[in-house]
Amino acid sequence: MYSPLQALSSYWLAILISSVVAASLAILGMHLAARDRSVQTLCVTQGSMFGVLIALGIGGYFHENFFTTSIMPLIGAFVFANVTYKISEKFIAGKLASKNTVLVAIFAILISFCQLASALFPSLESHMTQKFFGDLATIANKELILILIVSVAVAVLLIKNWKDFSCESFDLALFGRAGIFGGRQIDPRIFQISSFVLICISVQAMGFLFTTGALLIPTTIQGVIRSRGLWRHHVSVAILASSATFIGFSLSIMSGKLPTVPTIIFIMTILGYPVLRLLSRSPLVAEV
Amino acid sequence: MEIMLQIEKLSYGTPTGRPLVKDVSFNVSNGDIAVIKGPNGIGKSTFLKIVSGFHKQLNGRIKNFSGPEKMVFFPQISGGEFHIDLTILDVLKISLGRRFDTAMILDFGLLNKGHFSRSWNTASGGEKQRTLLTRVFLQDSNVLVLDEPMNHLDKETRLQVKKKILDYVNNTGQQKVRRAVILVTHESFESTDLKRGNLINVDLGQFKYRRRSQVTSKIATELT
Repeated sequence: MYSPLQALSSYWLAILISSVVAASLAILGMHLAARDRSVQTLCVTQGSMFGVLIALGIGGYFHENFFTTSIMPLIGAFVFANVTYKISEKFIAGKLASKNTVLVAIFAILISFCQLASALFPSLESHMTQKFFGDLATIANKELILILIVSVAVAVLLIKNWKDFSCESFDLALFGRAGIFGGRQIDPRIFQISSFVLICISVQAMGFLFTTGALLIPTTIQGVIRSRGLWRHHVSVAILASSATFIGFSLSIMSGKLPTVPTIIFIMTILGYPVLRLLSRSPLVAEV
Repeated sequence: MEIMLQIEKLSYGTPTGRPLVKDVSFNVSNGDIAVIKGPNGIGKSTFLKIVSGFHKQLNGRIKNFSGPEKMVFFPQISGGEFHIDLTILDVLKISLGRRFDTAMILDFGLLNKGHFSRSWNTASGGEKQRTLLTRVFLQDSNVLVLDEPMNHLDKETRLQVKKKILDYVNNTGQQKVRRAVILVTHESFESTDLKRGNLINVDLGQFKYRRRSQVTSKIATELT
């Protein structure tokens, strides 16, 4: 007989680590949205998913181990995310059409590439759905530890240098480039590399839907509420993403029927407005 | 007078490679204000971007003797809103870093306490311009490159900014450092208390591509 509490106790590590990853993704997503890079992020995420699938397809011909099921897909994700980014940057810079039109076209092409890859490698059929919708309950402990280390490192980096990264986001959004006003600047490659690493490892382990959801949903709702203040935005999106992941994941495990990621996204959506509204007035997240 | 910026035979064009201006040459020295003028479409903003190192020229050389970290570029605002609802104080806090000091900001005079809590996204064009100008002037710099700094400002504030520019090059209230300003503006600096010979008027229209290059009297004197 299915015991919800027993199931919950078996997945506590996955639930906790997923909540930390979600918070880290939400802070990163806030900067990406501020830089008007949301659609490009969608493309890069899809590109990294294509890389994961190709690597899993090739890995299917070899003996299954941690390298072929985790490290190879991660390398694939990183390579294809980079390629997607470079191509999209080239087309955006060329201004052949509007920025979003170009990016949506690239996104459509990548979706079809993923589908083609799953047709070429028969072993990918099950992986395709899993990597798209994600299944947090099936992540191996080794992978969980790896993603925990990466997401904590990125979160610490973003929080420690929150003023510098925010300034960079502000200048990029308003003037199209950073570093024009002089003063102390953080190397723009630091943000780029850390976002690539976190997105790739998250797509590889947690799937496309969880990654894009945690990146963009909290900051979108926070933007709708228009609660003023930069630090408040940082803390609020992190709290919403991690609490929704914690509750959604736990509910999914306890029910035994609900899929993990869609439940998390659902909770994030329905809790988003009231939670962020509450936080917008809370002295707990006062400006620093 | 110490040369701070040397522009030699600079030619540039549109992003598609169509040449606009050919062989612009002039020097900017300590205490100078160089006012860039010219007809619409000649590329005045492009010229400032090239000088600041954010755009590539077709030909020619720019020597910045202060170093790129001491040159601050103030572009025209291309987009108004920001995804995160920042206050004006937030904007100054993140952009001034360790130099952030509310007393210094108030003392500078373009903003008052009432501005601080206003949302950047709903602030007027003038308030945004005041905020960004405060940000620019409070940086540690030797050369300011300003693209239409008086945009969106009322007459009184335009005069205030003009005075700030003069104070900047004249080092008023600061320890003596070498300073110069290059700007695109419709304001005239002719009848100001700028030291004689420190005003450079550069008309890019006279350097228009395929026309014989001409230089202003001051530049001609400097080059000979």
